[in-house]
Amino acid sequence: MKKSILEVKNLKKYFPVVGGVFSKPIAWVKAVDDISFSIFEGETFSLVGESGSGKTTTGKTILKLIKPTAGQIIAEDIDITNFSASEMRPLRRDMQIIFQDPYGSLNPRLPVGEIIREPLVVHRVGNKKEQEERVVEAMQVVGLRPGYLHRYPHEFSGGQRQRIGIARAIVLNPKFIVADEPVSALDASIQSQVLNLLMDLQQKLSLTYLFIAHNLAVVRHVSDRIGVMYLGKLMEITDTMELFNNPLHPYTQALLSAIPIPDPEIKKERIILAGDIPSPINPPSGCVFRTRCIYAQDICAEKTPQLVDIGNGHFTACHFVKKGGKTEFTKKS
Amino acid sequence: MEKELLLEVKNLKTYFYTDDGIVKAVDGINLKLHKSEVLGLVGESGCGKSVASLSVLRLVDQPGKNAGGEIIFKGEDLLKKSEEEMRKIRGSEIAMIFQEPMTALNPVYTIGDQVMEAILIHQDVNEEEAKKKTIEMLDLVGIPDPKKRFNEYPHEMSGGMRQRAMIAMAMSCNPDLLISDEATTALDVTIQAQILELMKDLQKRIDTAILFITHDLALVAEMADTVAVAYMGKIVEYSSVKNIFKDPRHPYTYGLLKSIPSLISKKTKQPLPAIEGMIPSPYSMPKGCYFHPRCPFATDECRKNIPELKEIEPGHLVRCFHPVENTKGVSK
Amino acid sequence: MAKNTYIDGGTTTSETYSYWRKVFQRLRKHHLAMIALFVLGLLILVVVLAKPLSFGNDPYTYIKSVPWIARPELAPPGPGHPLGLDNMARDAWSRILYGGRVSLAVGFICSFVGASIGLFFGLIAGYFGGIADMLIMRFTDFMLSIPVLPIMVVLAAVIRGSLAAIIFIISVFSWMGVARLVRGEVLSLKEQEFTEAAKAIGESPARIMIIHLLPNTMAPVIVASTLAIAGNIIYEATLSFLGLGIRQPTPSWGNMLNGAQTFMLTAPWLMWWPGIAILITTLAFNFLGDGLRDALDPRLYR
Repeated sequence: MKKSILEVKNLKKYFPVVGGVFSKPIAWVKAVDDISFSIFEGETFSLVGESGSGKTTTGKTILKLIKPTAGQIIAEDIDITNFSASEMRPLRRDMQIIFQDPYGSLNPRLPVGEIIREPLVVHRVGNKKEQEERVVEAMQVVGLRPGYLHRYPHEFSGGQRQRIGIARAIVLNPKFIVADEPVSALDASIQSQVLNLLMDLQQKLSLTYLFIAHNLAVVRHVSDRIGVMYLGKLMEITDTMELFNNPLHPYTQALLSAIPIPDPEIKKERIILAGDIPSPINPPSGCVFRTRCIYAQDICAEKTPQLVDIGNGHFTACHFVKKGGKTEFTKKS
Repeated sequence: MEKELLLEVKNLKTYFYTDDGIVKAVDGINLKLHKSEVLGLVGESGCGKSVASLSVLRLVDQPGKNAGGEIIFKGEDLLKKSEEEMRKIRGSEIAMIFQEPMTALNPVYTIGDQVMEAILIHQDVNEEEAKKKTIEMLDLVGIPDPKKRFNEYPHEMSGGMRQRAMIAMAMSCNPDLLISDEATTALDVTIQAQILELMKDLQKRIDTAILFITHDLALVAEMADTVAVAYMGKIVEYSSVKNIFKDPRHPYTYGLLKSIPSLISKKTKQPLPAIEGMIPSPYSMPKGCYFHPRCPFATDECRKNIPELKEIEPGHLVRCFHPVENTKGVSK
Repeated sequence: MAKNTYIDGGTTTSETYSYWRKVFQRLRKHHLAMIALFVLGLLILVVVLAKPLSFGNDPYTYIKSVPWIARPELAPPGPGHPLGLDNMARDAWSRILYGGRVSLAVGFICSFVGASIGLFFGLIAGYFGGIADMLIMRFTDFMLSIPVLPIMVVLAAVIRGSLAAIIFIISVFSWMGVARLVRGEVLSLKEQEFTEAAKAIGESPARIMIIHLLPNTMAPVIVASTLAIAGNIIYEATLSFLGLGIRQPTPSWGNMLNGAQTFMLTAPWLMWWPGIAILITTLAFNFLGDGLRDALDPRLYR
């Protein structure tokens, strides 16, 4: 039995939409709406989904950067859901985050050395000299010349900035890192370098990743298991190869078939989804995907399908996917 | 059979004269686009692909300036045209769609009004006919309930719908050439699939040539007939889409294709064969071939001289002294 | 990737440079601001060196006689007294120099105190939001809605005279602009990922505010404070002109104007000197502020 490092149970995060004279909430954005999953030690678990799917909110809520509305977050058997900022502080040594935007995530007024040293200062690790040694070590590990210690973020390219962010995340030797779209702002030739670095660090430092991304080819390459999100809900969770070879949820099927393939000779049969992603303020009743699903029936509007294990850790939330992976799809007339 | 040549860009140069020095954003680019053909222009940030497209429409702003070359469109040099003549060409003969339709659409006018405006400017029709044509166009690009949508403002629409409206506006005058600059980059993958499908469909129906600019090689594989790969303001490889993906000869194209994570390979969780180093700063360009600091095959010759774009086999142009020989197993 | 292979070549320059050096480089291109900076530098030098530059005169001494006119009171400019003497036969040039000390000190100190109060309130309001924000910003609105001059006059009449009192009174009314500015900046900065990164590290709100937010709000605060110096100099002059500021015999540009107004027709030059001094100083601070605004503009520079 694999040991789970993090467990999320029925997590919800609703953001208020305020309006009126008294700034009262007039509606709720259901960014994350009742999701549950576990992340096992040493693995890369990825959340994929399109904009508004709630994948980034999930990542930040797990780290308690956003306060959850309901549900439980259990980190190594400790329920941290209602931990205060000061109770969280010691735990933050073990849980770090890498951000998407290599420009916004570094304080422009601090030299790189100070940015990477901050976590050590906050957690009072060693004296100044020891801290500086660890900063240099972290810079070397991520492939940054230690001579750049005194330079400012704006002097670096996007890829190098992302390395600085990674160095800051690993300097405390964490166990678990949320990587929130870590390569999507980077050029193709830089993307692969950073992906290699992340995979390399995982091996060297025995890290567990929650990898959040929308690029399915990238996710396929780095992940052990994948959770597919749509409008704040999990549609399917399974092993990477199983997901790509045997997608069961109609949304996963459409999502995978929409990926453009860098090969002009493969002309694939596309499932082109009709319409737009509905607003998370007023998501469809029942199954949130039903408005775009070609197999939707009456039951889909009435009953919310639960995410159930249909065998071998393959979870699907669809009324027409049965135990053992049998599907009973019928096209809408 | 050779199709009729629509656009020929010859040795086009667009330089930006900044306080910190001259940036050669477009540094002698040659492109050929035939009628009803799709030419993919791919490259990473700083390769000059967007500036090149703006240069074709002569829309480059200060401190950017044309620094030479010719843009032969339907037999005439656009660089020799007056601003007045250019205005007539923009939007009617050459139309353009951008990455972020929200900035290209005016937020205070309805979608319908904006498409209609484009029709009224470039076509000899009255308002009633223009409105009819507008609704036809909105319908053609797959906007549901076009009569109602006619009166909607850009902010009331989703990103995908806005991009459809932009395409309706661009296609309303049956342009000979459509320039698509990262038109699907900001969209979600399922919406991107819709828009690509729409563009392919319209391209067949209206018989428009497309200059398809993107950073995403996979999209080029899907859309283009011919591909030009740009790096630091120069075209480094130019050939049919099949050659580019099956037999890439420039080390940059080759490296780029090898570095993208595959959707088929079983070797996941392994190091990707990445291109080392990074894109040079435009203020301190390397001597010789711009790619040599990152190139695994670089020799002294590459460090000293800039290679020419040479035809190494019929229809396959490469800017390299040592084109990659064995390209087996590159496309996955 | 093998250890110790470094990623090179993408830095924008070959040498490292600090933010402020870059700002100064851009400021140098702003001619008016550079002239203003030069003028202000000269001004500060002159008031600091007031004693050696006073030609042996003293701002408090009554001159018994001057050779070029019968009565020394209101004597026009002449040798040894380049700006003439005032109604009490004191040397106007030395009084302008010593008065400049007062005016510039009031300008700088009030601006600094005001900016500090504003930064404090702005950071708290912007970072914590909610009730703190509501209370602080309503208080700010309240302070802004007070007609400043009448209240200052009343206050100055109650606590009369000393330099410290004047500085206190002006400072109390010069923090609101900075508070609003900083709050606005903080609202956008706290949405940026580096603030979130700081939280993810486990930094306390105080540390986030001081290490991450404060330095990033400095640019607009510096511009606003520079412009505020000019305003504060005028406030001081106004209060002193009304006889409620710095009291005789201590010179300030404001009370020199006050003293001179009675003799506007007989000795008009006595009004020009403090007037011109105030004009040049406030103009210079305004030009410098404009130049700094352009040089610090974050949109031009990341």
